[in-house]
Amino acid sequence: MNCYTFKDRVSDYLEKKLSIYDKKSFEKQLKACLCCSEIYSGVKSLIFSSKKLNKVSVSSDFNKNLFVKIKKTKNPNQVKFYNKNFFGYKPKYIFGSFVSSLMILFIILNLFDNKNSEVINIQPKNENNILKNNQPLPVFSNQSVIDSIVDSTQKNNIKNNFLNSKGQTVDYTP
Amino acid sequence: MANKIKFSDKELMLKFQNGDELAYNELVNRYKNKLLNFIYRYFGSKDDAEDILQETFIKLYYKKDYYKPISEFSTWIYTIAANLSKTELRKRKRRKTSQLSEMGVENKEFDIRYEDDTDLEINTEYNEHEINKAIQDLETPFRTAFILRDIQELSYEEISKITEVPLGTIKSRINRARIQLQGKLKEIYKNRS
Repeated sequence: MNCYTFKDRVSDYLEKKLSIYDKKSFEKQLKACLCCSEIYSGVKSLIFSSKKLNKVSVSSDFNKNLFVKIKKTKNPNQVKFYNKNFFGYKPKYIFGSFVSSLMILFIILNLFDNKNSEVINIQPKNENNILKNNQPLPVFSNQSVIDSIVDSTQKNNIKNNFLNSKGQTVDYTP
Repeated sequence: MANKIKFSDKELMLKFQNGDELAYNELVNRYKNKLLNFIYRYFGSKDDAEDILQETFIKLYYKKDYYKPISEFSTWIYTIAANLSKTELRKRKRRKTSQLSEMGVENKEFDIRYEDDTDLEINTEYNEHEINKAIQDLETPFRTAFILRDIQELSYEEISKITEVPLGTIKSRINRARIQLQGKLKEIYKNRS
């Protein structure tokens, strides 16, 4: 045992909490080192003296003064209604969470309500639709022309429905 | 002679929570001197200690509903007293620092008094005034742990609950406080010789 370990274990030794092995090495160090032995006797005297320190007692009118002060003091820490606990919840938080849930519900209902919303109904132009309407279809000879004119969305809808120069419907899908 | 029923602290506290002010009075009587001795070691002045003690009991009066019977009443009341003492110490430290910075070097007062006639041997009893002075020079966490253990004679477990610090830390704080204190006292006695 060295001086550092000795210092760490002084209290344990004095309170008889060391194992037999540690106790022996503690006592060995106590005998061997003058500095450690001074620390030991110092701590021992301190504990002894602390227990014998004079006890102070309150003045005779302490209770009277205390009750006078309590009467004078209005409860500074009175728990207000909205801060009280009801089944683990505070009313102000219950109210807050109720309002926020209502708001969330309102927003969700508005988002998914289809009745009032304007939805552009885009029907894909398939071959049957075009033929039924008898509308003239654009004539293109190659894919690159088509690609440069129509965007991808439109392309998806109509690229299958072009007619070639002979008037036949041609599927241009790559 | 009628036998007086002795209620436990917890029972008294529950009675007080239900509006019985006599129970409060009984609790005050039970703890006033214990707590005064605890607080006194922080400040070294009885008047200051009584003021903090009064505040502690006022807090107990108004915060009675915060007490839950799952914890020991003594632990709870000691925690209140310790916290109030620490707060007061912090305030004083701030005040002291500002006052010192305003003072010139020649105006500084050093409050170190020695007794005239002393026994210089290290393993004799230390003088009470010196012990109090040395305790007040300790850092607050060490001071609290030392007072609760060596003056109030509470168990390590109780101290751990009061200070809300793990048991191992408390043990080490108490040991370190003792080593520091004996070092300080030894120095004082050596200087005197």
